[in-house]
Amino acid sequence: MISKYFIPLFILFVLIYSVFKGIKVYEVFVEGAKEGLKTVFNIAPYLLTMLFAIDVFRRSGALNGFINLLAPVTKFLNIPDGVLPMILIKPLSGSGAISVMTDIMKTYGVDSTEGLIAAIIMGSSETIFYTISLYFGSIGVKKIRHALIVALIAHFISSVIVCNFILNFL
Amino acid sequence: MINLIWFFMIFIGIITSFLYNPIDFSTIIAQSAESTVKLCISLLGIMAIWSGIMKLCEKSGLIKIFYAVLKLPMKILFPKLEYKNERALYYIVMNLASNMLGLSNAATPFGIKAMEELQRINTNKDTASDYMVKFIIINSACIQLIPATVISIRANLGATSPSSIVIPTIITSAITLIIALVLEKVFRRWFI
Repeated sequence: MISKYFIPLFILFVLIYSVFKGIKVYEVFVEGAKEGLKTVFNIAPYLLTMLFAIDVFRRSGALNGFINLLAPVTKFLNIPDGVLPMILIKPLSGSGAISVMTDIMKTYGVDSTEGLIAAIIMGSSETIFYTISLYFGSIGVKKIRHALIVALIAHFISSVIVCNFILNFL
Repeated sequence: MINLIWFFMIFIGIITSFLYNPIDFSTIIAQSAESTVKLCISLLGIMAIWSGIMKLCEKSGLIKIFYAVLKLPMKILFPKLEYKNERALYYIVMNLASNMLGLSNAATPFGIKAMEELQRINTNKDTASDYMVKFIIINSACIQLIPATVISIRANLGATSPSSIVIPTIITSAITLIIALVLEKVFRRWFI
């Protein structure tokens, strides 16, 4: 309900603010749109590569085997079977996570419990391995101490919270 | 890491299918490729529009308002950093402000600058300082006001209300952030 108004109000606010600041709204928008197109072109090969692997993994029955293997843990934590791959891949690869999320939405339905959980996990945490290797790599720090472990544990705990919340209140 | 995962997904997939469930690979290749291309084509349009709006945030200086709002909580999260290296605090806040608006292209350079400034006041150059760990952790929780990619894909797949996940996503990020900050305090003593 709030979300329904959030987006148009946000856009309206940005536009009014930009006009007020004397920005050439049309031209700047086009400039951004170009960058958006480039982003899609940049992620397209990753999507293609990762979705191919996911398709092979899923349709061969290997994914189901893997899910069954972890079933005792996921059942205990109330994680729906379909969502598990999303929780596992999000810290590793952003484009991989987009692929897994799309796959979950196509398999279970975009408004299904699984689809909603995947969307929320997608938007609420960063590609932790990438961030850490990029930022620490850029300054040559080798001992990263508790950065990775804390980020990963927080990601898993909040994913479990999301699953339980969506399952109980929707 | 991702190389290994990709390799094993296909390797295990093919082996499994040989053993239990023979599938027609040429069909899978064709269908997989076709559905990805369809997805990308519809993504092109929606992503372009969102990026246009985000560019307006950047150029109009709207991002500076976020800077003003975020500065106080960051002063509290990074105690005394203001006096040790004020530029580091500036870059940290700009990085988080860009991330919140989904401007990841703008966020990355600020993030790297922040790390460089933090490295200047770091006493042990090959080990992460407390400030660095905290910055990375806050960055990982990544509170995003408009998850544009997720909204675009949901719209593309026919969700009844594509943006309905915005508020739950923000709440989840906040929860992740709080958990991470608490864990950071707990784990700090074991990783010196």
